[in-house]
Amino acid sequence: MGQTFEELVGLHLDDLYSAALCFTLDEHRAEELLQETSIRAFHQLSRRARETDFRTAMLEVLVTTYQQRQNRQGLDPFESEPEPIDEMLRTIPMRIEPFPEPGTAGYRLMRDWMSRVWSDLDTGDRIILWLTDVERIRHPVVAEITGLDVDEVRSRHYRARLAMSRGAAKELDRVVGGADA
Amino acid sequence: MKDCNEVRNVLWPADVLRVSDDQVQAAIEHAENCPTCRKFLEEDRRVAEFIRDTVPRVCAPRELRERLYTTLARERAGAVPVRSRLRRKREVFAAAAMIAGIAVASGYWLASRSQPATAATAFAEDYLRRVVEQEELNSADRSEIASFFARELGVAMPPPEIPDLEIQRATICLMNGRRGGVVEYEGAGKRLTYYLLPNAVNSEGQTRRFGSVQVNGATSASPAVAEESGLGVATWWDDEHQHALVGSLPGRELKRLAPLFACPAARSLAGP
Repeated sequence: MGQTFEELVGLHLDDLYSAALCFTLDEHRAEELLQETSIRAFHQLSRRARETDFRTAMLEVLVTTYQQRQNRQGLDPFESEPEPIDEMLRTIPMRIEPFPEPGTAGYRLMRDWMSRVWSDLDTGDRIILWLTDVERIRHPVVAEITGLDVDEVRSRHYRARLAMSRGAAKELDRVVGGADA
Repeated sequence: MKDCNEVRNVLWPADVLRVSDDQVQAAIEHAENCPTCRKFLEEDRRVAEFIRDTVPRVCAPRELRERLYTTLARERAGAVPVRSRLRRKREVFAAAAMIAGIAVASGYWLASRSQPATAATAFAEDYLRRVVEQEELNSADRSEIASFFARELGVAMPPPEIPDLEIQRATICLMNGRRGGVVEYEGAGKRLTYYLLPNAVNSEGQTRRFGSVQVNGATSASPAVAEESGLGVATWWDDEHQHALVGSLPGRELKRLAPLFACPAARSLAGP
């Protein structure tokens, strides 16, 4: 027997809320976004004969709903110009070393710090990074979800990874340097 | 393939599986012999792993879960306009044993109707409703309970007084996407729970009862009674509602009590 929509939403709710929070950077707006997303998805997904990947389908509705909410306010999350992927790939990510071991104070410090770094990313890049690196959705599927072409998805993805690696390397350098001092 | 940038374009992102065609194979061979490309791909893998490890994951607030389930229940029931709600005190559902009893007895009720899939779905929904501790009123005041059900269900239903049993609380249940009222009684070592489910009307104007069950002649005057594992279940119908009494009372006792719960719309606070 298949699971009900409510059961499936319940299973994925924490992750969907985390995604909504990552997109909006605001708890109240994240809750509103998820509320609207759930109602839309309830009607859209129940019409499909077989929903094999509920999570991806929900993420698609979440992204679409977020884009439309932004558009209503005259904003476009993918407004910033992507750079050509060929040019981007000439830049090597910063080395994150020594990478703190999970469970250590250094690791917890990095994790706390990284949650702040997400908010510094470009909105569109942040959405792409979530879909690709956190949800591990392939570029062509992310392109379908966001309505961007694959090259733009790749470019934004790489730019976000670079920003994260640069920030992490810089912070590690500061923390390790401080400890040595 | 000799151009490093072309190789990176083919092999990035490094942490994704890809089909190994001639182009990919050539890029891999290049990367194995090129320190710059090898370093690029190693770093890229570590960055991806780092991002996944440190991503901020947050639990959805309980209030959000409550609102979502309420909203979805309304959508499933047919999109009732959102009403402003008073915030009510919510407590943890303490009577786990009672829930189990209700589940067993209600399961019997549903299973006896040859609707196992529908029953499981209904239980899942009601469970979801209960785990988020939604919409309950801890009060024995009959007028307060009537107002509570009027507000939540549109049915002014003052629960009847029953000798030796005291009202413990009233809650909203969710079965097959339909909101119903539940009143719990307790006293003299006995427990009794009353369910009230307003009948749904489909798009063709036909009354749809719980789990699309066909009524087998059971009316307010002749409730169907069953007993299972020491629990009694009585079910009956009228034009507007479905009713059930479930509890640790014998079936004949439930049958005797059932008329007290008949026709809630017509019942007044002055009545039994």
